[in-house]
Amino acid sequence: MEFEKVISGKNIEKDYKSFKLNVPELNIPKGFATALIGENGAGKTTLLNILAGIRTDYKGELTYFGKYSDKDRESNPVVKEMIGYTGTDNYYLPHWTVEGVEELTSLLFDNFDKALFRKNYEDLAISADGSFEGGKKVSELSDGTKIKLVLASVLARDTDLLIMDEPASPLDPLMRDKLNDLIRTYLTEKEGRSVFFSTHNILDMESVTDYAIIMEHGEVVETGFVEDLKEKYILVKGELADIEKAKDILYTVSTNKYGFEGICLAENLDKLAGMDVTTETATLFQISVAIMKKNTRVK
Amino acid sequence: MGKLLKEYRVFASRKMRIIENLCLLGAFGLSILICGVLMGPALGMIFVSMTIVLVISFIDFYMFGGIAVKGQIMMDFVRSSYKGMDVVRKAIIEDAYINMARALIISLGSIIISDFILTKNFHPNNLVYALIIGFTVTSSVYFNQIITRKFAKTMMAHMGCIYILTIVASLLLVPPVVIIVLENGGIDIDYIGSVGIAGYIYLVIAILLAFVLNRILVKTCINGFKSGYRDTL
Repeated sequence: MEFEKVISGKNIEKDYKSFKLNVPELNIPKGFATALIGENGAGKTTLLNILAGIRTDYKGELTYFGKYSDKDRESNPVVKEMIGYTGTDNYYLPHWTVEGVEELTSLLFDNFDKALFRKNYEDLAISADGSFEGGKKVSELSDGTKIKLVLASVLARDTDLLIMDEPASPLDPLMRDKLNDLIRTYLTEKEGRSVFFSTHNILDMESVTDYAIIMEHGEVVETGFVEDLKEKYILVKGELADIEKAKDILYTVSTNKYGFEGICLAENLDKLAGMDVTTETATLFQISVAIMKKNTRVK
Repeated sequence: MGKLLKEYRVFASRKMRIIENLCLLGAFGLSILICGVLMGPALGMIFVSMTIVLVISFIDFYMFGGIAVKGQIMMDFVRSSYKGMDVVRKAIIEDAYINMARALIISLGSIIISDFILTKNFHPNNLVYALIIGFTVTSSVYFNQIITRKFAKTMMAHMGCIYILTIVASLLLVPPVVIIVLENGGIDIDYIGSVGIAGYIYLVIAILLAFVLNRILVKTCINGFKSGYRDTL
């Protein structure tokens, strides 16, 4: 399917001693929230770091916003100003105060809005009473609250693309829901904005995910808009008696005392003819797990 | 001053910098007592003290992140900004200036202690000598910056390059340059006495001793404050 891309890449490669990232083609749609899914060690963080310009020791070509190359990213201040990035963990040093974080971010980014940062700080309830506590040290904040501080900071910049590495992981369920709201608001506040995030919390992030990229062993194994993936992959439920026959065409099978269920390609449904099976629309979580299981090396 | 040191202030913790400086002074004092006694002449003492201060400051900073630029996670944040590395580099240079000021203060302190209190025989060459070292080290800082900016593509390479160059500049570049300048300036280096092979040996011992003492003191003090400052680096 053709769509406008916020980032496109060709032949992206990064070699480690025991791992190789190899992505012949990468397309991230503009104007949508794209989830990067994969098991631990699949190469998600490496890919995100390459896209955010944190790693520059890779091979391949990247194009940002349809017109800037990765060389432009390092030579033209406009590109990185348009990209907001959050890493896997809080990256503020423990002795920094909230005001220090504010000062540092304003030093690093021209489009950082201090007033908006303070508003975000209050909206995200970073302090117990909701007020701005400039003198509070990062070391005094809980893990989840540190991530909130990172979010308050990155959302205080006028960017066109957010790249987030596992933003949901340290957050409680309520805050994950809030994160979804923040992403939706970010996307709708300004036309053409895009979000690209990695996640293990597919269930929690599914409601905000428009497009998914699934990685295994450094390679992209599936991509597509969630609605298209849900047409491509079907959840099948059937009698235990048919499980042996169905196994061959199912990506994954799980059983209970009532029968089995698994994911299969919609195009293979006719191969289940004659069996007593019902079909349902699969969730992104079920599809992702099925694809990961098919490609994993975990026994 | 406030504007000039903006980057430095943001990256460094004032309290920790004070602790580090005090620890450095303590370690320096102990080392100079030992090496100064061994080397004898006052100028030799200043030579050792200056070099110890500079080398330790640089090693401490670059290896252990005195200004905390080594934390890789935080570097991700810095790298995500177009001007992030420039901000860090500026902070590094500002830190180097602070080290320079610290070294000069300690050097002058040494002159006062040795020439005016211990020997009661002031020698003006001591001041010239301190200034020459200062300019040489400042040049090596800029040399580091130029080299790393040109060749180092990743942060680790950047840090490694600075680290190696600093060691090289501090241990090899500074003393010979100073000796040559002193000789060309007609200053009798015999006066320095120990700045020969023996001087180098004393120097290395002094550096190692001060370095170890400094690390022990810093670690002890910082653990005492339970700041977690070093844990992230």
